[in-house]
Amino acid sequence: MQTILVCDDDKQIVEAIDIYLTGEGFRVIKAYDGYEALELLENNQVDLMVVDVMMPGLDGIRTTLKVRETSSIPIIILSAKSEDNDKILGLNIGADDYISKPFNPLELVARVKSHLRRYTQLGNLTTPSTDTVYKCGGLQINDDNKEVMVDGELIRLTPIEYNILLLLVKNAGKVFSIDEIYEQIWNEEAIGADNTVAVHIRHIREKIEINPREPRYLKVVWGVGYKIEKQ
Amino acid sequence: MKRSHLPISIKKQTVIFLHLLFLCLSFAGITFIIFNPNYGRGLNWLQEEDYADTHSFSRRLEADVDNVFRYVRYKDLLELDGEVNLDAEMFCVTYNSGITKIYTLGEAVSYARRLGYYLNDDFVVAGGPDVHEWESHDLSSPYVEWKTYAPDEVSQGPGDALSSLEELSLQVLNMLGDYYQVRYDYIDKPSNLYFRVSYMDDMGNELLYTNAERRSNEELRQLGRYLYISGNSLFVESNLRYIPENIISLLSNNNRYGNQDYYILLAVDISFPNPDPYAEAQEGYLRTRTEYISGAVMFLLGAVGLLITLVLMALLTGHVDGDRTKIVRHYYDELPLECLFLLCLIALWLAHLALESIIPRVIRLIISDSYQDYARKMIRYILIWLILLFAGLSMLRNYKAHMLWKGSLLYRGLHRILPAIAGLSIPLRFTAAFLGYLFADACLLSGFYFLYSQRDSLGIPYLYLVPLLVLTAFQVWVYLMLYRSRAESQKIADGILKMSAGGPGYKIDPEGFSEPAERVSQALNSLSDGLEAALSEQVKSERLKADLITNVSHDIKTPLTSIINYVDLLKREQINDPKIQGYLEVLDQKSQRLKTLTEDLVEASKASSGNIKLEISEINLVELVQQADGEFEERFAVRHLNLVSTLPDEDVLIAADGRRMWRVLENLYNNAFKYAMENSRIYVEVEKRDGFAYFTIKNVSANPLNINADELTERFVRGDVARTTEGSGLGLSIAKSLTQLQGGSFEIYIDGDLFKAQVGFPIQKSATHK
Repeated sequence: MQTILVCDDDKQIVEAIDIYLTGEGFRVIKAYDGYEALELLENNQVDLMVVDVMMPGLDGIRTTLKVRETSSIPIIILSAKSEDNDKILGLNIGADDYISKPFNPLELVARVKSHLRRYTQLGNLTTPSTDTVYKCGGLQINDDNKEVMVDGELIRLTPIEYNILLLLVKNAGKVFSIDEIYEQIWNEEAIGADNTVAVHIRHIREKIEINPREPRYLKVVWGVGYKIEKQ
Repeated sequence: MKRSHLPISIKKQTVIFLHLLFLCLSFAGITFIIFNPNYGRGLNWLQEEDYADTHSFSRRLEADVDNVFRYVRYKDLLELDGEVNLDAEMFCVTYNSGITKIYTLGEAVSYARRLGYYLNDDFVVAGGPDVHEWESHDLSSPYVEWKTYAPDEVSQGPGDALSSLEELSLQVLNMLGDYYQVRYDYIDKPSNLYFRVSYMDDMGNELLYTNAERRSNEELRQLGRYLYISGNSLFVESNLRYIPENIISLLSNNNRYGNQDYYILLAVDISFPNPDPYAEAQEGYLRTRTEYISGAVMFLLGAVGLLITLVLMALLTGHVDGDRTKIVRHYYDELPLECLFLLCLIALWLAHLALESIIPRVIRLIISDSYQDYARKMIRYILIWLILLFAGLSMLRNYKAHMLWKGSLLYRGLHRILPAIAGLSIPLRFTAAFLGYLFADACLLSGFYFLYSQRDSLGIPYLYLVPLLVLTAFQVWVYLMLYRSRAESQKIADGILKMSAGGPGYKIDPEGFSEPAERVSQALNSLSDGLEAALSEQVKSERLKADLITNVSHDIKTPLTSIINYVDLLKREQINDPKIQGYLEVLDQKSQRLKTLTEDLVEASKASSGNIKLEISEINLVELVQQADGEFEERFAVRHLNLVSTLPDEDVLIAADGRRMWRVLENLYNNAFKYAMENSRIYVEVEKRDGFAYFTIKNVSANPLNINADELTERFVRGDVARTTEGSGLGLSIAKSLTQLQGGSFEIYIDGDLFKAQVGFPIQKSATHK
């Protein structure tokens, strides 16, 4: 059973998260400020930590920094601050994910699971890295059997969706415009406006992302195109 | 330096007294110089010249040369072995009776003496016959046969040779006087002039005339000045400055041998040991020299003293004992400057009149005629000096009291007029200034014309150029003033334009401005300051508001998280009561709405306060719209909305922040999604027009749009007044703010139930443009 440390100064929130995660079969230990969290981390085998930013005493940012000195467990930051700057700060100091309040409980659970899977897979599983296997973070495409895995979970994609995703993953970091994608996949010149590519991309995102509006892998570069974030 | 404690009044009186004294001294000096015979020769002669070099010396020498040759002539005639020979024959006459008689010197002299003639102490013929004796006098005129003293005299006509015996004997007596004179002056009495005249006949017999028998020629030459002329040389040996002009002719005329063996040596002992006319003249010469020098020294002393006392007077005048800063003005100092000038002119005129009339008469009583002109001149100068001194000191006192300019009529007049001018309206003042300018131009031009036309009758050449130069300078001045004024107003206008163009921090630099422009620019600067302060205050308050909203929203989010979570938990509790499920649904909806509301609120406040960091780059509007279409197509399908896009084939590039632009489109699409009538079409279009790219979205509203287009973009305004539908009412407001932040235009049009939103951006001319 995997242990998750939840730390927030709002008891009701901790309680609610506890209910959701326990319901998913995790062991939850609760802390209400940073010092408590650090103490619990020392005394327990913790697999993942969910921490609030604004807390009395040691805040979430400093707690994360402290934890990162000794441990590499996944850390999800939970915050009422939803601005970009706050997110960037949190991710830069070593957090693995950032969820702004008020959050969708199901999304939280999904992210917790995703991070745990990745963490354990990275730790145990050494996937054969051949020419036909493309990896990007938790996203893995095996071109031999046309399988797409996200955090170890098999994803079902249509052939066109697969081809689009493969194109993007193969060229991770490069931005493809709709026309470019169309020409590569359909092998014909893109004439006239068509929503096909955009709709497919939307579908892919809905399948591989936990929150399609805030994608981790398939990012929309608005007004330019799409890309897979190099990880 | 020790300060003297004399009262200032005593100092003043002393200085004035000294000033007058120095004035007299310098005029006395000038008098000495002017009446010196050497006046007008400068000062060099004082150093260079000796008496022996002067003209008066050479004149005296020339006269003496005459005398010497007279002696040469008379000596042979009248003298025998150094004594006067009374038996020397003088002339021969033939009387009418036929008797011819030769008269000797003794006979001629005794005849003259009989008639009453005699030689006085100065060897000049004096006396004469008594009138009564004249009657009985023999008036017969004998015929003159010959005269020993004038052997070359030839009668020209029958009457010429007739002469009276009286006349002849007088001639002899005169000759004798001359002889005595020369002999007395140069031979009997020790003289400073030495001469030696020598004629030699062919036999070697020498005729020698000299007053220096015991001295050799060389000795004579050592005495000082000498002159040696020889018959066999053309050159004159001499160290004299001027050679007497008569000497050469006299020397050859008196040569009775007709050969070249003769010479003359003249020498002057320049130590002048003997009392003779030379010594006297030397003394006189030295005296005038001393006088000239002392005159010059007096003049110099007087001038320096005048200058010093003038400075002292200038320093002292107006001051009194005690308060050093206090300036006392005399009652006549109260007069305006112009009156002082006038008074001065009147005084000068009166002085002139007096000099013309009364003063000469008074002078005539005291001073001899020959000095009168000079005395008048002196008095004129002294009077002018005193009048100017008086006026100058008065001006100086006024200057010290800072009343020179203020006290003048011009100043007083200007002070009357200027406020009156200042009170005039600007157009009148401008007109007055322009008329003044024209008037000044006209005056100067006519002055030039007058002087030019009269240029020949005026003594001063090119006087007509003066008004021309003044006119030019005046034009330049006017031009500079106008230029400056124009430049200043241009600067101010530029400043105003810059300020109004959103640069409230802009300041006009009033450096070097004239007074009114400086005031205007300072007022503008303070206006700009005020505007800037107000703007920054506004920005600050907007920021504070945004911060407040952000903080409040943070505080709301935490309890909201719990609400959402627990509502969700409740829903999972498998409650079958449809009533409770309905309630939960409401709770769920409203809590979700609260969530979007808080998020939108933060975004709206930030967008409207500009508190957002933009990442502007080049994006393709067509691509963006395609992406947005892709995002929304399926959602639209839920409400049976048909999306119709009209996009150009080419890329349309604009400079914007891609994510913010997405937010704008997302809000617009969302708006259409929420408010469009079901089963209707939503038209999306991108077009290029006049260098701008326009994105347009059109839909038919489900509810009647009884509202202003402008009001729609205001916060919390929604098309449905009842506010039953989902949404914060901030979507369009955020979209508008974000668009404007990125430099785009955002317009909403409402036509009946047709809702139309248009976003416009300038098209970027890019190299990657297809």
